[in-house]
Amino acid sequence: MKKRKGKGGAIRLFILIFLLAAAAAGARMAAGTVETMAAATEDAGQSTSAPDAAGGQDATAAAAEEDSAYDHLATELEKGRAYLLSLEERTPVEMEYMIAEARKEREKEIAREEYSRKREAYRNTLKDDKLWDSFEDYVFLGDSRVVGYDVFGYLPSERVLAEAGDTINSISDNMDTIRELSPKYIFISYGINDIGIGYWPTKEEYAAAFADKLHDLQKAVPDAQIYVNSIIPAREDAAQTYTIWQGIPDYSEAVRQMCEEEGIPFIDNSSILEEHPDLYAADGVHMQSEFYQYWGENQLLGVYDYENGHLTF
Amino acid sequence: MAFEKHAAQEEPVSAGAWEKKQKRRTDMDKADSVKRTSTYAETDDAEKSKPAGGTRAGSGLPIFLLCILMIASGMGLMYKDISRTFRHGIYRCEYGGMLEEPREPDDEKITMAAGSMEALSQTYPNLQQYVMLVPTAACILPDYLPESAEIRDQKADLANIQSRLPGSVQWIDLVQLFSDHSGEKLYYASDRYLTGWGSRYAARAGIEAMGEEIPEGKDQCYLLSNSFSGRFAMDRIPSLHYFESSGERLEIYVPENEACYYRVDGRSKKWSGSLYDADAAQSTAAYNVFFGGEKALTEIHTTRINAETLLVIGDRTADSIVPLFVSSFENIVFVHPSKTPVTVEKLVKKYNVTKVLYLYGANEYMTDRTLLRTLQQ
Repeated sequence: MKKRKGKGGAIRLFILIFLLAAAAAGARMAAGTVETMAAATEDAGQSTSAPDAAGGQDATAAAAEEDSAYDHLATELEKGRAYLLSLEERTPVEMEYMIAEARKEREKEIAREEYSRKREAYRNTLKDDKLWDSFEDYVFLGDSRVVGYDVFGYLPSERVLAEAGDTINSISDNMDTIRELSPKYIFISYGINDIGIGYWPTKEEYAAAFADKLHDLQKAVPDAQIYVNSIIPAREDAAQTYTIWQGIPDYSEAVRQMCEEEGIPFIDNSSILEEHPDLYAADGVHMQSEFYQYWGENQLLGVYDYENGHLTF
Repeated sequence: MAFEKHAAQEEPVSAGAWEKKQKRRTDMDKADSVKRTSTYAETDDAEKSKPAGGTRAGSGLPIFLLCILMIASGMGLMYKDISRTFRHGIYRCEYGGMLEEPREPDDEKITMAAGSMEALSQTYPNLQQYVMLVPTAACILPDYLPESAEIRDQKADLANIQSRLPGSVQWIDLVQLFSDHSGEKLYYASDRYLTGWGSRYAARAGIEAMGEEIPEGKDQCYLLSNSFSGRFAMDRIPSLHYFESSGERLEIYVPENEACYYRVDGRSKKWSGSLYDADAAQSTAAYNVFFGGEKALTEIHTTRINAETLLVIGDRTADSIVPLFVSSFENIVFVHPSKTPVTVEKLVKKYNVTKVLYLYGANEYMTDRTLLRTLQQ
């Protein structure tokens, strides 16, 4: 009996310590569970619900919600780890190649920025009357729209070989005059009549016929540099009235592709009308006088770009 | 075996002496045997008799009482500790967070650092220098401090540091920015460092002030740990770990169009395609996920080709901010002055540095003198 009582004290002490440790662990687990769940539910974009608030909810729904929150948390952690591991999978060769490529791209970008500054400086030299004085040794071929260069007094009529209603067929008609002038630059702008009259029912046929005319022209004046303009669209209301003009952008694109294939510089004028849509004449097809300032400038910038290797087709 | 070894080690003796010695040893063995037998007999008697209320039961009670006393004392101390709101420079707040007490600035150090920065500007007139100090949480969130807390006005201290900087060094203010966003989770509750969200604010402020582009598009948030337990939590007495859950979310924010990069450890020359250590995220030192811990010098090279090389001189607060600079600089050199004696001047020459950013936690900057060594010319 004496011995048993002595052991009993130690056992009680052990039990007491055990109970205290168990209580502490239980408290910790409870605190941890509540906090983790709170964080998880918050992550899932749900409100952190206190036990009282959740009291009225169905137990099954609450359990499902709990599972969902845990799943969401696990997915988030997995996603984060996957991201870090994906970075660690990068190889030196891969990264150095990417940096070298980025460096090349940046060098090109710097060159483009530099060219852009030079181009802008050139553009500034074309202000007002200086613009028209800058046209030297050239010929314009085109339709009634091109006639405006002459009519509004910007360029002399002998250099503007254009009539109302002209199409690409008119190139052949003007061949003798062109040979006689033997210009260094030939600016061509047809299309509105070509499409409107319907000689070339498809854009492909038109582009092919245009290419033939350009070949003939180049043969006649081999030293001349030909520049083909994009076809200026008709204003929307005019295109609504005469619906065939709605096909102008497609024909213009076909011409651009043809120029690219033939290696002939193509001058895109679309930005002028995007910036100045109010420069159409009343008929919605022809242009006001002011438009020719921008159009003329665009011709010279086209020459500048081409001669500096920056003209894109 | 022990006896044999002992016998073998004995020196040779005469026959008579040997007999005497043997006899003495035999006598000792006998005496020992008798003593052992007597002890066993006593035990057996005790087992047989087991008298109630004997002396053995009496000796257990004081031990029991002593144990109870010890437990009670322990619990008392624990209660005292739980109820303590300030310990080792850290305030324990009602909401469970811990705020570090703003430290008193080392005026001499601050003056010397400003002077060295000025000298560096004179040596390298094209070099741009910036100072960005992350205010302590207590400075931004004073309302969370215990009522009894009386802390320094760190805003005033920071303003004083700013006023002492030479004109060639630009100050990047985070006090106002963080105060404007004080309702957001900018700091960890258990550490002095910034959360992923706080780091994002700091990095953006830095990039903008340095005249570089902030990456376009959204930032992707990655959760790296939901059980982050910071340095302040380590300071708690062990028993409190049972009662205070210490899990925090450790997240990083990565720009959607982040530049590609690699880093090279300055000492080991080890190459890595990541600025993070995935394994550290799950460890007890989860903050080591950034750069795998505090590194002396780290080189970072990126696909953001803009001829800008940023030198970041900083403490561990900078660890979570520097990764957010990769989309804004072609090269980044990140140095922990506490880990290397290298000087800024040498680094500027070696790496053709264009910008230097001193990026510290405000408390660390107030007192840490390793920066002075780095700024020596």
